[in-house]
Amino acid sequence: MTDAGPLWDFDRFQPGETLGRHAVALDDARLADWQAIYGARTEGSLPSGMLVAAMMEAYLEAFSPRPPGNIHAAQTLAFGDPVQPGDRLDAEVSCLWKEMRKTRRWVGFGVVLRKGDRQVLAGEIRTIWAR
Amino acid sequence: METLEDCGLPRELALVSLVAGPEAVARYAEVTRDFNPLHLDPEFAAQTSFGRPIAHGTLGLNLVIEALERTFGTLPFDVRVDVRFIAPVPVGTTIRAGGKLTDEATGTYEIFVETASGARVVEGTCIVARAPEIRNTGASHT
Repeated sequence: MTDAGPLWDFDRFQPGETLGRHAVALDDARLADWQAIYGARTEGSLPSGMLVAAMMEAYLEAFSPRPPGNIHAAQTLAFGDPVQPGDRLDAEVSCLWKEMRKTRRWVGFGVVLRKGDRQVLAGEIRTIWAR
Repeated sequence: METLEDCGLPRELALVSLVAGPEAVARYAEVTRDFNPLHLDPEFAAQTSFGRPIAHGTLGLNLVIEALERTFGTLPFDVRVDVRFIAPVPVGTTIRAGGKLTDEATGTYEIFVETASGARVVEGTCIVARAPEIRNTGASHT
């Protein structure tokens, strides 16, 4: 990812367009940070919330530069197949829709996380874009 | 007449809480690779409309996922979540998450994250799509 290039403003988004792909490793360091926040888990299990964190990482890595001041307003999550510690996930981020509501610029982003050919999480990040 | 208590699904999700302090927020930044100074830098945040650092929105959302896993033992297959982030969480705030069963037929819970004073910061719904299977496998009731 690079911050070079034109700003991702509202006009630039094309619904249906893939914005980026990103790989996330569910490694021990990430799990240790997680457990420091939310508490220890049964050994060998992976908190499902780590998939949400991976989704956010993929979303942030997918495209830039972004205008400051975007608001993460709403979120959907659909959990699929389970994951295990050490799994490597592939994420794809796309623009699902955009819409002006009064003066607000709403943009919906889709993020799909897969382990191999199996879907483990699909989410929609609904934002109010700053400009 | 069957009541919600008879239907097999827990009426309420386990209530879980944490302090969204600077260390937890810094750790969450590592987990998500989201190092936006709005979350981490008091001097930067002081210049924004928030006036002080704000925790990542999904830090609170994930507390709901923790509540689901602690209630059912593991996340039920094919869970669907739909939430709105309705208020920012200043770093240092204690938050708690939980939920209440509202529709046994669809396995729908109203879910929330709130501050210690009860102010909602996240709210929405969660559908446990395979409720019958969960009941048949004897998931814990809280």
